[in-house]
Amino acid sequence: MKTTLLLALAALLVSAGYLAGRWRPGAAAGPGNRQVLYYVDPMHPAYRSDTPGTAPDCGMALEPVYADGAGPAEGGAPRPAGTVSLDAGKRQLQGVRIGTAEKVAASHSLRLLGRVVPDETRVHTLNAAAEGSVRELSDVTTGSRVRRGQWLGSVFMAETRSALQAYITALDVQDLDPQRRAHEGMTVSAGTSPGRSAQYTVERLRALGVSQRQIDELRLRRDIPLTVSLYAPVDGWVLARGVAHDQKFEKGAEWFRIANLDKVWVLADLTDADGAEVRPGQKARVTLPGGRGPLAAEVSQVPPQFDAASSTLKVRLLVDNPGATLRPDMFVDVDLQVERPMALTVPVDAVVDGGLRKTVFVERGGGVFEPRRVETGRHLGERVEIVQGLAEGDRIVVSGTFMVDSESRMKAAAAGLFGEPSRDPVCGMEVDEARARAAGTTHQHAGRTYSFCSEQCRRTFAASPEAVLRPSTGQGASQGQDHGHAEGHGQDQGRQQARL
Amino acid sequence: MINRVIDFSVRNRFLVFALTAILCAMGWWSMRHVALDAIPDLGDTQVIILSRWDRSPDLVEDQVTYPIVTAMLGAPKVKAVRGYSDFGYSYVYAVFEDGTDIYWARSRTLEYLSSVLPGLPEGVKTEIGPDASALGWVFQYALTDESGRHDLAELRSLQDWYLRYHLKAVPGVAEVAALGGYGKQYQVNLDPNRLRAHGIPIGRVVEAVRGGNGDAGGRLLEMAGAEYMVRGRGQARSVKDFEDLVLSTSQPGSPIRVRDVGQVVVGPDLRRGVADLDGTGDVVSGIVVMRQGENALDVIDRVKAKLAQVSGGLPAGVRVVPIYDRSELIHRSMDTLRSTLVEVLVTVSLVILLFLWHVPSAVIPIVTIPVAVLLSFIPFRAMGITANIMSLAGIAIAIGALVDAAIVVVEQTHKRLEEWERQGRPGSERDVILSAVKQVGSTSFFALLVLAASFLPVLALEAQEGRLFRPLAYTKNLAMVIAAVLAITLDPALRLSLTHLRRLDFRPRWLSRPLDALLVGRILPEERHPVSRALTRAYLPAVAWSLRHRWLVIGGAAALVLATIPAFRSLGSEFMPPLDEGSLLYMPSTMPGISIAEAEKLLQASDRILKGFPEVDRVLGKAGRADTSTDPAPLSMLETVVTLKPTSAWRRAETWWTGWAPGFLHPLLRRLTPDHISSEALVAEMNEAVGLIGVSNAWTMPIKGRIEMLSTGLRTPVGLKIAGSDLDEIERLGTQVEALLPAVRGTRSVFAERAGKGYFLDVTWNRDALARYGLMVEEAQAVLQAAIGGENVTTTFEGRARYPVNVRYQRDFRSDLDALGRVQVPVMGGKKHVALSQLATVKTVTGPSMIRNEDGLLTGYVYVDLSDRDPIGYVEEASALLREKLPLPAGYAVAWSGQYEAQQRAAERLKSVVPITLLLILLLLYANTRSFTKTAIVALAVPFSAIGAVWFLWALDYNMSVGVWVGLIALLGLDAETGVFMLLYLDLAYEDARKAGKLTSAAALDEAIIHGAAKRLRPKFMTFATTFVGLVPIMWATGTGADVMKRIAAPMVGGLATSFLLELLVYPAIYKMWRWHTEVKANVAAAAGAGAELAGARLVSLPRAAGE
Repeated sequence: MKTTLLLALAALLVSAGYLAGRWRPGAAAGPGNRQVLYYVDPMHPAYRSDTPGTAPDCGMALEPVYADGAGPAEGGAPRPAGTVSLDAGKRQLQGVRIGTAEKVAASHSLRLLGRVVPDETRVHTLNAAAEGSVRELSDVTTGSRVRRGQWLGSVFMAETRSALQAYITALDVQDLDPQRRAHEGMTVSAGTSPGRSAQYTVERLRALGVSQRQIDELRLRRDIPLTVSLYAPVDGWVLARGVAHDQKFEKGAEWFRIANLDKVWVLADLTDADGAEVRPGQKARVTLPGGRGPLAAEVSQVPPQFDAASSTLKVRLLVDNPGATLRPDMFVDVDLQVERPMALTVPVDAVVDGGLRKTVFVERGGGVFEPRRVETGRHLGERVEIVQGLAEGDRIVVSGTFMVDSESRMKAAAAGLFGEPSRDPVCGMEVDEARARAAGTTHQHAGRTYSFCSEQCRRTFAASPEAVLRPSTGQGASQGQDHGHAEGHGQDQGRQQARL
Repeated sequence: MINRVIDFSVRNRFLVFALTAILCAMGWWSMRHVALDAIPDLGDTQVIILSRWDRSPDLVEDQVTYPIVTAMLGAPKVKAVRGYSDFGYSYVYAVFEDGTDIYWARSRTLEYLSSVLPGLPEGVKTEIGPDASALGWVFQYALTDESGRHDLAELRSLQDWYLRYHLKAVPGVAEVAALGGYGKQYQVNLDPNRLRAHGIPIGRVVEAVRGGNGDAGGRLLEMAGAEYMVRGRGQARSVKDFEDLVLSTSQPGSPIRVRDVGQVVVGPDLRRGVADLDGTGDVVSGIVVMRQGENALDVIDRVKAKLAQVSGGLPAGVRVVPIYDRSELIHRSMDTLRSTLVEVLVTVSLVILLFLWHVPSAVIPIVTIPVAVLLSFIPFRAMGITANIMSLAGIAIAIGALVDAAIVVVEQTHKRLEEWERQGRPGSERDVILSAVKQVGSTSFFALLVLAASFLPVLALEAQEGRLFRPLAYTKNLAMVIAAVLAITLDPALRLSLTHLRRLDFRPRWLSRPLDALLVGRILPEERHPVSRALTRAYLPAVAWSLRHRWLVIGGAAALVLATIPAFRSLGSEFMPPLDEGSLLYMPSTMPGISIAEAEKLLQASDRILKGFPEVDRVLGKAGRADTSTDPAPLSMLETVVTLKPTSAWRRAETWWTGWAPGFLHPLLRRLTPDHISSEALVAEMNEAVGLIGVSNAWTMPIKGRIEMLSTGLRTPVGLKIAGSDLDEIERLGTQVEALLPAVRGTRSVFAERAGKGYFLDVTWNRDALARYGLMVEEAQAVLQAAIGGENVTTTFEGRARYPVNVRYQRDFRSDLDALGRVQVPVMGGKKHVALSQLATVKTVTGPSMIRNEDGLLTGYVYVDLSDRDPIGYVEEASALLREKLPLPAGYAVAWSGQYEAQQRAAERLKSVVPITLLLILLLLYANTRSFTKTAIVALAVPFSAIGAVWFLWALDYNMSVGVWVGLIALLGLDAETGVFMLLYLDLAYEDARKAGKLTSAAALDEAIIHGAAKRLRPKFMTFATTFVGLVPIMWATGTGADVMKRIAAPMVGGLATSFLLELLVYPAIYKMWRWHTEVKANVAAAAGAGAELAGARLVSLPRAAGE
């Protein structure tokens, strides 16, 4: 009797001690004091459990659904892995701003370095048609401004004498009574008429460098001058002066080169890529190094020329040059405004460029952002063109993107995703291929390997692959509509399918 | 031998007193001059090898870190080598075995390094870091400017060129690291279009800048009897000097200067770290790094003195604001310990006074305690142990036991004097006292030595736990040994000097009465003593009952022991008892590749939130690295030091007494359960509040976190190291772990380092295109480096300050991918330029951002932060999960690290230390009792004490830790001591009864046992009470360091209580059964039978068997 009592007492003590040992204060308390209704598998919201733990299919931690309504899966449609939810307070705190993807006609400016050259059409050269020597010179030097007809200097050329003589003779002949000439029965052909002959001699004189002004003088005075005077042919600037006092010159030597600089050319180098955007008629602004200007310019009708040495294109701009601010060989900065067609663009900071993968975060409403893979086109200054992946009006994260991306990657990791996700055709959830391979939840069908989140899904698929594959496209489309950007999401979905 | 010492001491009392006085003076001096610290220096001996090379992490890893790591692996006494390759930097941490001298280690490092250095690529600058570690970050300040007239660059210049050198010169300071603000830099920003227009290659500009900044010396010139030193003044000293540097001349001789192709500005240098104060934005901060092995408090005091001295030289409005100051922690913990020690002294003295009720007798143990404590400071200081929480805790837990010998001696003399008085004072009192002292002197001397010896195995702990607890073991044992020596020298001497039995009888009465009570006193017999009479009265029925229900008592005790097992199993375990440092270290991580601007934003946002807590004093955040080789943090790791206000300023929280207790009780009740929010709750709230997106939080405390980082490389208490050969695979495994672990209870956060997710811009040269222009890859690379990278070309010298000069393209020409494509590469000697896009493809890719290399293998870390869970239990559960769910490819290994590693090592060591202690104690017991039975009975105290120890730990919700184990080891010794005392008086009573021939029946045996147990309760209770009560103030203590001491004292308090109570109840029962079955039963039977002679013979043989 006593022994039994003792044994019972001992057993009681032991069990009491054991129970007390098992119970730890505070062990069962969840985060905060919120009441947990049940736990769900974040990827399969249909799976519910009363106790925390891991999901039976993918081994993920079950997420609690609280009585106050905050739960992991609103709606019930599986969200892509890496979805981030962010309330307004946190957004403000971390400087996450939301913008929209807009179609804009982007114009951006190409900043180029140009070199001023004289307009080829406004350059005049005075050069020697025969050998001779310089007699007299004005004080015009290189860089001097000259007026049209301004005397520049005189040269002596032995060869001019016969030409001058011929001209005077021709003039004399011309002066004879034309009737007398007819009377004497001279047959005058068109080519050899005295007028013609005088004209010929004038041209000959001009070719030798005798100016029109001197020829006119000669006609009046009929006196053969010793020297030939040189006059400026246009208003302009002396670009080159090839003469000096008493200088002998060879035939062909250049005395003066004079250019009119009312309009000048600016030549600028372009890379191949930029060259494709430059069209004749585009407007540009030219500024001088000191900040003078700007002057209006326009891309001339001539297509850019290619410079093989530096493998660049040269574009020519025609610039109005009042007051000759621009001088030849000056370097100027050219802002070439390049207009582009309307394109869907987002701010540069909105795109996370991981090299192979460019991601934009799109709001799905209620402060939930999902990563969207996009393809980018050109950079347009502060914006970048989105070729694929977004629709106009999509609300996207435009600053603080790095932090959203970090969070997204952590979320994706929490969902067991690493690298390229693949979509489970059965439940629509994103699955890490490598993991599925390791777990053996893959299935070969029609030459493709499908990955599944669980053995259960794999079996469903293996039973009737066609039945699973067909409706899944419909699901994708309906999902796209759900979120009000059918285009972007559809494309996204399409790519996902393609990757499957 | 011992008796001779006692004789000698008694004869030369004044010599003993004089010697004691001198030693006390020395002890006092030692105590005043002992170095103070919060905890013992726990850092491993570590040598840092820092290499700088402006290349991406993979290049640095392959060409710098890997060769150095593999070379260092072969160095002697190297325990582990950890390498980090980051952008531009390679850190190699060689951790040496315990006790390796740092300077020895440094010269070995140099030796082994010298074999690698010639093989490193050109341009790699390798150096050995300071003889300090991150644990030496003892003082951190911020430079603030109230006038608003100084920008961050100026403040940084003040830090770099003024404060730094002053502070660095302070003895004990290894380095002063700057953080935050901008370093000033001359920047030559070039317009590539102009370079092209002038046909000047960028290399020409670099040369011109480099060549245009140097002085020359022309020796001496003698003129008119004086000598003149010739100087060529070519130093550039201003922006204009650089602008005017000529690059080339065009044909007509017009020079092209630097200003024609770009502009020169003063701007910020490249930043790899940013600081933030209280969320207000970038701030300039300095970190004083203490040399390894120095005393933090001294260094900080000197630094503060120096700061006070030099702050006069700061511009008006600029102030040095100390943010993190470890000396506060040291002072706080010293205050806690000092008050606890005083409390212990006072309570123990009170207990002694109460029990002896005789002032002159009580004075002896009361004097012994401070003397022993003072004297123990002499060897303590000589051994170079600092006074810290651990070493002083050693003294605190020893005090209760220190007086045991004195108490036993006093008690024995009391008893003898009682007898002497009863017998009418035969002979001189001096002889009585002396013989009483001699009777127990050697026993108590040895008892103390046993206590000391049983604690020796603690010295066998190694590594960090060894460094932590060895000072405790040293001080405890030193105090014990000194107390033992005092017990046979000072105590007998005092005894004889102080014991006067002649009553003082003089007038006035009012003076003689109290003097009489104070100096002579009246020795009360145990029976008439109020306290012991009450105790005895309560105990008598209990022991009688226990003797009647022997089996119930023994069975009940056994059941209690069994019931303890599940409680023991439910105790969590951790490595180290937590030390509340009074500041927090918040360390969030984010993905690699974060820009400095984004990191600054993040830092500011989290700091502002933290500063918003009413408990927070200051917040100083750091992103990236400070300017020191002790800090390898990449930008993606933030470190925020949060200094907290004293707990009295914390928010009030409801606790059980807040509702009803009157105000005057609050200070008392606060000690039991604090009424402010707990630091765990605070951290939980903060964690909730700073739940910013994109970051993974981790919380620790500055010293704790840095120790962990130092010893394992991890920043969290627990972590996983994944080693393998491919970074991508390591990262993949890491993210899988990140997905799996949150399912384990207690996970606050898991973060796998994304080692492979840094962003790169790859410029891949098209070799055909290069060939077309006759360019060598190297030339093209040089252009890339100069144009984009912005090499520091030269340095300007402006007084003490030095600023780098940098040449690169203007920002717009290198800020995006398109612009990079247009970078002009000069060809044909600079006459022509070709766009980079013609020569190479530029694209963004991802790649390794920071590469870790542990002992030559690529490694990825997974940080796991825990809340409300013991690390060891967590790791066991988590590793089981990983084994099941994480398939590892061939060639990859995962290993748990962090505290877990240390705990494993400590557990391994404890597995041998605890049994050795037990064995040692049993041996000593056997040597003392010469009886296996008695040894076994005494050893029963161990399970009895386990009951109290475990349940007490359970009730306090303490985890098992090395500290608790040390407490348990100390408890083992105490168990043996109390057990021996219990048995001693039972034996004495039994022997008395036997000698008197009374043992003729079971009732007689009972009576003898009851006499031994109850009548001699006083000495037993006194030794128990002094030890127990001596520990209570420790349990009662709050404040910094108290938690650590509590972990050690808790098992002792709980264990002593139950072992004492159970011993009181169970020992008599067991003793009775033993004696009855082995001797008395046969005795009684024989007496009842016939052989009375035989019984007599057997009784004669007993004394030897009983073995005193």
